[in-house]
Formats: sequence, C-alpha cells, structure tokens
Amino acid sequence: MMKGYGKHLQHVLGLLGMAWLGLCMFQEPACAAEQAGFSIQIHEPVIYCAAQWNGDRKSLALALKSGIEISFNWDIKVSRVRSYWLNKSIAEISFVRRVHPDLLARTWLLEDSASGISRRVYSLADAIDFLTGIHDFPVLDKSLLTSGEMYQLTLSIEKHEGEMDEAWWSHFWRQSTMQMQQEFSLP
Amino acid sequence: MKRISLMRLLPLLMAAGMLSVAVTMWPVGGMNAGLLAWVNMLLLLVLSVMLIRYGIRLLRERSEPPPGSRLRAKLVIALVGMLLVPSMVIQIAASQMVERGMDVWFDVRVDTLLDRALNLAQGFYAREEGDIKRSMLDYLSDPAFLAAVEGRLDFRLANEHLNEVRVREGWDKLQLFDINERLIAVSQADQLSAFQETPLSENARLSMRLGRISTELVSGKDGEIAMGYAPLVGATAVEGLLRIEVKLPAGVIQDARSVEADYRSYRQLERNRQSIREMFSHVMLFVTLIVMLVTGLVALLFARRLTSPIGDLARALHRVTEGDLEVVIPESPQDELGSLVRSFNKMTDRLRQNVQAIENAQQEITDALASSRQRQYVLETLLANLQAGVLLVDADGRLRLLNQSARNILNLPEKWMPGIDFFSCCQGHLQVFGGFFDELRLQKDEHLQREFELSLPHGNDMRVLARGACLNASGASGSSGFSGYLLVIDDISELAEAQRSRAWAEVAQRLAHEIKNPLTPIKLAAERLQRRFRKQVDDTDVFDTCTQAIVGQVERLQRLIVDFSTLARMPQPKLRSIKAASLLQEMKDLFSTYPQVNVEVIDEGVECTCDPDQIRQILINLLDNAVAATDARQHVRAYITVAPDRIEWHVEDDGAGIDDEAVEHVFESYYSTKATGSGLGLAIARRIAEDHGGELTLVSAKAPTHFCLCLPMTSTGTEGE
Repeated sequence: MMKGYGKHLQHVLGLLGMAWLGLCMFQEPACAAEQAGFSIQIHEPVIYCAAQWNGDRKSLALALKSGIEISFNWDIKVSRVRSYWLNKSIAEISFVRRVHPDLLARTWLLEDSASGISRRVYSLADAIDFLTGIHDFPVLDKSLLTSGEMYQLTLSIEKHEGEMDEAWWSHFWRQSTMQMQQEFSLP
Repeated sequence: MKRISLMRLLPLLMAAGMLSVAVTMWPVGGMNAGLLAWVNMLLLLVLSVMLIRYGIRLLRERSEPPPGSRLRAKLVIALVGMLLVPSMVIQIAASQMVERGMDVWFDVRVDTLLDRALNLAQGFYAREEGDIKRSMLDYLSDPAFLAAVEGRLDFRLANEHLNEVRVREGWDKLQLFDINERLIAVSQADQLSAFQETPLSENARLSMRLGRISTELVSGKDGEIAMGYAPLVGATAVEGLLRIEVKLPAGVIQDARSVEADYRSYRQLERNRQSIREMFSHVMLFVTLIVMLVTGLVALLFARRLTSPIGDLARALHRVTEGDLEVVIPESPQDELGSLVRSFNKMTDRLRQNVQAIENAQQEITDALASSRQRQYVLETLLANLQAGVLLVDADGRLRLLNQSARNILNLPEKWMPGIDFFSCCQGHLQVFGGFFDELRLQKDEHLQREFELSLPHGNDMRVLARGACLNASGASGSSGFSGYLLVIDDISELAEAQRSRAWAEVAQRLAHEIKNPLTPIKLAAERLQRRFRKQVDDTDVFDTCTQAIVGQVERLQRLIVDFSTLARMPQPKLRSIKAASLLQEMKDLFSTYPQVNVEVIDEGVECTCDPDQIRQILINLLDNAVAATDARQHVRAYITVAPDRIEWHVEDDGAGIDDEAVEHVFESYYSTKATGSGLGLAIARRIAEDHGGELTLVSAKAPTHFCLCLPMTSTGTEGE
C-alpha cells in the first residue's frame, strides 16, 4: 500500500515539477524602470506616472500603414508592500489607447478610453506617440497612501494588433508585452 | 550481451520523435504564440515523459512481466502507430497545401492589385479634397463674405450670395462663421428647417487660426461627408471661416471603403502569415495529439478488455502448472475468449476430477498394499511361529511357499526354495513325502492325511503326520485365484513317544495290579516253608537256596512293580523353594561311605523352585548308577553350576561308560544294561526333569560319563502348599 502511495506521490511531484518548469519558461521578468522609461512623479495632491513603451516602433508604423488597428492596453496597479505576504492592492487603473488608421483619408483616429476623447491626426508619429507613451498620467490621490509605507506601482502594457477581443475571458491568456515595477514611499 | 528488441526501444523512439517535434515547433513568442501552441507543447512533453518512463521500465525489466501486459502494450502501440502514420501523412500534406495556398493567397499580383485599388480609392478622396480646396481658394477674400462677417451686409443679401455660390460650386452646404466662431449665414441644399448647428472642429479652428485651407472627412448617418475649411482673410487679418460640406457619392464611397477593408484584412493576414502557418500547424498537431490520446485511451481500454481474459488465463495456467487445480476464471462474454475461458474451466475441472480419482486410487492401492503387507506379515509370522511345517505347491508342481518349520522337520536342504520343482526335489529320505503328494494329487478327495516314518540322513527316524488339501481356484477358496496344494507336516515323534509311554504306563499299572497281589502270599509261603520244613528236608542247603531264591525273586518282582507303579502314576511335583546346595549336601552325606564319590558343595545361596523329593530321587539315581559303574579307585564327581536362568547338577564318573548302541536308549523305559535293573530309573528321572520344565541329558557317554540335570530357576510345575 505504501508502495502505491509513493508511486502516486512521485507522479504528483513530477507534474508539479513540469508546471514549475513551464512557469519559469513563460514568466517574463519585469523590466527595470530605468530601461523601460518608467517614472513616478508625486505632486500634491495626486501621484502621476509617466511611461514609454520601448518596443519596435517600425513594426507599429508598418502595421498602421497597412491599415491594421493597434491597441495598447495599459494596466496600472498600486499595492502596498507586505513582507512575507501578498501585497495589498490599493488601486488599479486600466485603459486602452487605440489607433484606427484611415487609409483613404490618410489620417489616424486616436481613441483614449481613459478620457473618452477621440481625435484624428495626420501624422503617423503622433499616432505612435499616442499609443506608446503616457505623460503625467494621474494614478491616485495621495491621501489614499500612508507616509512611510512602501508601495509598489506596477505598469503592464499589452499590445494588440487588429480588433481587440473585449470578452472578459480573453484577459486570462493575455500576456503583457512589457511590465514595469517601481517601489516608492511617501515622505 | 543481451539483445534489446525493437519493441522495447519503440517507446523511447516515439518519445524521441515527440521531443524532436516539440523542439521543432517550440513557440518563440512566449504567450503571444498562442495558448494552443503551449497546450501542444505540454501534451508533447507529457506524452514524452510517459513514454520515456515506460521505455525505461521496459529496458530495466528483468523478470517476466504480468501476464497480458506485453500484449496490451503491443496492441496500444500498434493501434496508435496505425493511426499516427496516416495522421502524420495527412498533416504533412495539409501543411504543404496550406503553404501552397498561402503562396497563392499572398501572390505579388494580388498585392499589387490591392495597392492599386487602394491608390484608386485614395485618389478619389484626394481629388475630392483637391477640388474642394481649389474651389475654396476663390472665396478666401470674397468681399461679400467679408462684409457679411464684418456685419456690413444685409442677412438676406448674404444668404442669397451664399446660395448663389453653393449652387455654382455644387456644394451641399455652406456656412459662414465670424472670427468668434459664430454662425453668420447658412446655405444648404436641404430645407433650412432640417438645419442642425454643429460646432467647429479642431481642424476648422486650426484652419482659421493658421489661415490655411484644410479638409476633413466626417462619417455621418447619411454617409461620408467631405468638409472644407477656408479662412476669410481681410485686409490685415482673418475675419472669419467658410465651412462647406460635400456629400461624397455613396456608391463610390462604399466601394472605396470595401477596398480599404479588404486591403486592411489582406495586410493583416499577410502580417500574420507566419503565425497563421504556425497556427495551422499547431491546430493540426493538436488534433493529431488529441486523436493520439483518444486513440491511445480507447486502444488501452480495448486492449485491457481484450487482454484481461488472456491475463487471467496466463495467471490461471501458471497456477495450474504449480499444482493449483482449484483455479476458476470468471467467465467472459460470449465470444472466442469466453469460449476459451469456459474450455479452460472445463479442462481444470476434468483435471481436478482425474487427479482426485488418481489420488483415491493411489490411496486405495496404498491401503491395499498396506493391508496386503500386513496380511503377508501376519501370514509370514504365523508360518514362522507354526510348529507345523507348511508347504504350498501350485498346480504345476512348483513349490510356492514353505516355512522354517517344514525345513526343520523334513531336514530340507538349502536348495529347497520357492519356485523349485517339487517332484524332482523329493529324493532320498523325502521320497515317501513325494509319494504322499502324488497320492494327494491323483485322488478325488480334496483332503488326505497320512502318518509315515522318515529316515533322516543322520540316522534318526521321525514320525510324521502329513495332511494335504487341494486348493481349487473355482472352489470356495478360489477368490485368491490360486490352484494348488497345501501340505502341512507335523512331527509327531514325541507324541508317539508319549503315546507309547502312556501305553507302557497302562501296561505297567495293569501288570502291577495283577502281579502285586499274589507276590506277597508267595513270599510269605516261601518263608513259611523255610521255617517249617527246613529241618525236615535232607539237603538243607538246596532247600535254603531255593527258598531264598523264591523270596529274593519275589522281592525283586515287588520292587519292579513299585517302579512300574511309580512310572505309571508319577505324582505331580510339589514345588517349593530350596537351596540347591542343600540337596547336594544330602548326597554327600548319603554317599560318604563310598570313597570314590566326591561331592563338591559350594553354597552360593542359590535357591531353586522344585519338588525336593523328586530331585533328590534323580540325584540318588545318577550317583547310584555312577557308584555302580566305578570302583574305589575311580572317581565320581558331583557339582553345581549356576546360570542366570537355570541351575545345573552335574554327575561325572570315570567308569567304563555307555556303549554307543546304548546311548540312544538309556532314557527309554525298561532298557537297562544291569542284570538286576528295571530299566525305569533314568526314564523316571527324565520324566521328573521334564515335569519340572527342565531336562536330563547325557553330556558324554565315556571318559567321563557325564549326566546333567538342568532346571529352571522357577519351575513350571505345580507349586506345593
């Protein structure tokens, strides 16, 4: 009986090992904030952040010129750092920036789900800048944080070419093309 | 080195193939490669690990695997292989077809065609914009528009001018704004009641601010509208804005947008060409793996269902070979395997019954053998302990059985063994025995009894009682299936001797009775004659001699009669315990007057149980005979020897001894070598010894003449009170 139990245990350990190996393979390490162009600005009374996607802009330009719609899903999370335990989530902001190419009019329709504003530009560079960067983006009110506590701001970017699948379950297998983390504390 | 079969390596080869496929198709884009790709990789890895484990187990397997497992594995591998090969072929063919199809889909001509179509559509838009811009150039400094913007023109006149310009230019709508973006005048092809004021767009403001003409496309409910913005430039600065709208033709727009959509789809597909190929490959691989898994599981179930009875059969056969015949296999469905199982169960049942029958027969044989051996042992013991000799002769005259008593009685030579021819061996002193058997064989009766004398080789004669019986296989005793003759021999010499002694005793008793009575008157008459008539006779010497002779003979006759009486009516010994030396001491005292007699009395305290008077009579008889046979110069010696179970009295003398002819008869009645002896002394002495359970023997006849009286420590006679 013990022999059979040990055999089952061996199988379970084997499967766990394989799962761990898969997680190790699939897990992309978070980029250093400096390399990714990620910064946090703390001003009264709001905490802002700025980030720049440092991917291949030529590929983006090529896709947009081909009339392919491109969306960037920005996800910003602020959590309080807890030792030996999971971090406590404080705030989470998700928004999508999307560019619709109009090949006939040679214009680029920019849509920002955070502000709800859409506008049309005539420059491809402007469209790419709109997609790949946020500047002075307000994240949360400073009053929600406590002085001296360590917080972590995590920003992940998902790039989608073509129409974006808005179904809720599509989030489960989306993989961020970039993830940035930075810890900070209020003085 | 042990050769490894291909079958054992097959799982490892399949695992190697799967790992090769996994390496070849490993997704390079992380999770962007698609969930399906990673599912395929996971399936490939899991299947590879399972196959590697199974392959290693096969290679390391030393002992015989469980029955049916090999067959099950072969069936599964064969079924999966049968499906895998066509699946791989189909996948390769489909991949080639997709590759060719994609080459066709993304052909350069298609690419060029779409580019040109898009250029045409873009050209339409560009021409429309160009037309709008060119036409609006004429109205940048139109005085009427400037006057209207500056408020110097009457509203009615301004509207009329706007209508005139709109109709002349073919615009659908024309609106005039002052520098403050306030609508001054409107002219449209539709009714004014349907007019809806729309604020200026960013482009319009930018155009007014920068003082340049611009256009933009706006999609509305009624289709696409090309909008143009032209600043109204006064003498020194921009005074207002002219906004026009031109409805683009719906059919052309629809076609242009279709071209744009197709172009976009085509470019998206082209951009994802590699991923589409990979997706297709992964879909095919996934389907193949799923089919393999399902097939493997189905094959496993099928093989397990198929090999389960075979495994049961193999295990049952193994148990049967180890001697367990109680094994019964649960019956399977009504198929060939079920028939095989039922046949196996019948076979084991028959085997069990046969083995049981064999064991029963063996037990019966063992019992019969034991019984036969027991009977044989009993028979042999019986025959060995029989005083009578027994011989069994078959119908062919061959000796089948004889016991030791037969050998002893008939003094048979060693060649008499079972199997010899009975007639041929009945030679010499056994001729009379052969005659008896011949008579038995030839007669009609089943039984025959004869007495005859046998002259044994050493000169002794023997009286034999022979009884014979015919054993007939068809008779009452025929259950044994043996036909032959049973011969029983009894040595009746002693019986004849006893009968003779008894006859003699009877004669002696009658003689004593008849002679004893007249002897006393004769003796008295002779003594009376001597007393009365001795003085009257002339020759007294003769007279005395005669009368003395009469008296003497009468007295001798009286003693003779006493001996006869003693022999005839020998009293039973009255046993009691007495010291052996005391009897010898009495003899010493009794024969002390004879110088030649030397009685050695050594008192060892040994006692014997006997009748002292009778034993004393024997010793007196022996010593009296010894004294009679010797003179004073010779020697008579008497002594005792003691053995653990008996006491022996020895009497020796140096006399003339006993002749050889007399040796055989010294213990017979009425045999005497002395002139005055009755011949009954030693006969009576031997009888007394025999009555005590002992014996009186002549140890040597001459030099010295040696008699030995041997008595057991405890006599078997009647113990006296």
